[in-house]
Amino acid sequence: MFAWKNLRSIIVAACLITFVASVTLAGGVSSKDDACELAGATQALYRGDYRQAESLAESYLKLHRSSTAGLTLLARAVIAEGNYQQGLKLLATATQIDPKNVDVLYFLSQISALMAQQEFHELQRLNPNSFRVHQLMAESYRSRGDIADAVKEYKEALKLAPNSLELLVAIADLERSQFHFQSATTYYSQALKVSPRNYVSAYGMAVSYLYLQQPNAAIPYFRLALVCDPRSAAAHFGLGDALLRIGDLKGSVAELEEALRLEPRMRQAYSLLARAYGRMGMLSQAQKALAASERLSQEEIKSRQRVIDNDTIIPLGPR
Amino acid sequence: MLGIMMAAMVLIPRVIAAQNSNSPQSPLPVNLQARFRAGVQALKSDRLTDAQHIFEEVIRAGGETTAVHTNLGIVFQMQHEHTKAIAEFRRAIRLDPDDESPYVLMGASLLSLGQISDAIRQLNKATLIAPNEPLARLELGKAYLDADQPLKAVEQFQILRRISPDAAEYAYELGIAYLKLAEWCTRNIQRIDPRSVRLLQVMAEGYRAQGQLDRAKTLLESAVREDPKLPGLHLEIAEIALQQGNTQVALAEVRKELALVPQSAAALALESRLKQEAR
Repeated sequence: MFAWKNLRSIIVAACLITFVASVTLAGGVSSKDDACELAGATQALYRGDYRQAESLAESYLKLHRSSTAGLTLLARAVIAEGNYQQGLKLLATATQIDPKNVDVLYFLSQISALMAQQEFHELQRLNPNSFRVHQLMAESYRSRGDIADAVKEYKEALKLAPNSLELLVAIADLERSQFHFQSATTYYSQALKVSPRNYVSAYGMAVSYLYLQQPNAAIPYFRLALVCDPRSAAAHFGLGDALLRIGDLKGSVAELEEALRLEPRMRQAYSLLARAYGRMGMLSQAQKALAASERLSQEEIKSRQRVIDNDTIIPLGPR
Repeated sequence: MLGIMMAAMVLIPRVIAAQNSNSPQSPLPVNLQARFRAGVQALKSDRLTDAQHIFEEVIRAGGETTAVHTNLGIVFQMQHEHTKAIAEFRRAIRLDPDDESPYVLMGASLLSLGQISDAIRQLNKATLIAPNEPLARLELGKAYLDADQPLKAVEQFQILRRISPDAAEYAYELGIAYLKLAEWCTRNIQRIDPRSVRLLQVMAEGYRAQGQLDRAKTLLESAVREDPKLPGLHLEIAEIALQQGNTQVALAEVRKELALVPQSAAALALESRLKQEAR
């Protein structure tokens, strides 16, 4: 399964590295009627005659005020002329008229990414030594998978803004992703000093302790995470795991069941639940949980196999 | 949370100033002013418990003013006691509905409690009272981001940039809002049509930016299979082939693009460049 998180990192990469907006190139009009009537404007756009494209699209829009194809074409023409703000406005109007138009959304994403880049350049011009510049560089490295440089840049940023919750959490998450749990706990604990009721920090801290085989230390942080977000299936699961490790079987079962109530397809929760029931001598429940875990596991294998068979299939997210 | 702290810190002097100016509310009795200043000093020095006790004492002694309640709210906010903070900000608003500060602060506390639509309502009131107050715009923009309404967030951050064009931090916030808007669009494309060619394009562009040219090319080739007549795809493949040093493939792809869009200035320019390189 290609998760949204992965897709997000790709988009961020596109925005932060060398995004080239192809607003003038990538075609797309809504209907055949629109296509015919806007053909002149489209041709003008492709041949680089943006003024002409703009003028033709404007004439078309006088007759068809709410044509998303017309608005999109006009937007692309004005963007090509360098008027990004106007282009954004036109595309925003188009998406309000037809929120499900993927062409409009595509061009809106393109111009937004371009304008993001512009603002980041502006940030650099206004304050080249800002911690934000280092933070952006870190995020850019991270999106490319260059973790070592990302950590380096985050640390530079942190020197300039030692109490930035965003930075502390980002660097802690990164350390955790690299299995540097001890280091992660240092940053999470600093983050919790800045913001004592921050879910991400509390959860990250708890998970790090769990990986460090310190369930007793993890438990209060899972509980804190649940105070911040009682509907977090992940935190209930983590707490159930930690309680199981210290032998609090009843507590563990309660948390794992809650995790499954919130997220019924959480395979790992079934697996731990089976273990907990087993240790409590509740063998039939243990078998049922184990069967559910195995069924979900088979489904995961099949789904993974489908992705391997067709590398170009796109993420299909939750349907 | 940082935003809240910042809001709190910045608004303290304004609240004090309001206390000393011709506030529409009844002024603080003279005998309580020294105590109030001591509370402000404690707040500024981060002695939050002291500050809390002093402001509560001032209120009990009859110093029921907007400034005192706002400052007490700030103390609670800094102690992460947002429910108590909100109650104080409401009291401050009842005493002076035309002061934007408690609305902004209340909005920030509501955001911390995840009460996003209430936060937006309060922050909108603040921007109506003081359209050029940067903190109100900043918090409102953040609230819209939390509400997954990036277009509205962009609007607020654009206003913020106009109000304070030299503030680097606001350039960052606006940049992030644009980025979130781009993500939001892509997320919606994925939701509306998970097999959309546009999604393949977005991903290909991302991989290309990451330097994963083969993956980018594969995705674009899939896009061509899905929609062979969509302009731009062959051109992107041609550009990638050129990046990979494969001029012949690039030329073949650019010709396919020109077969679809003979007038494409970009494709013609690339073709001419490729021909020159081939010579």
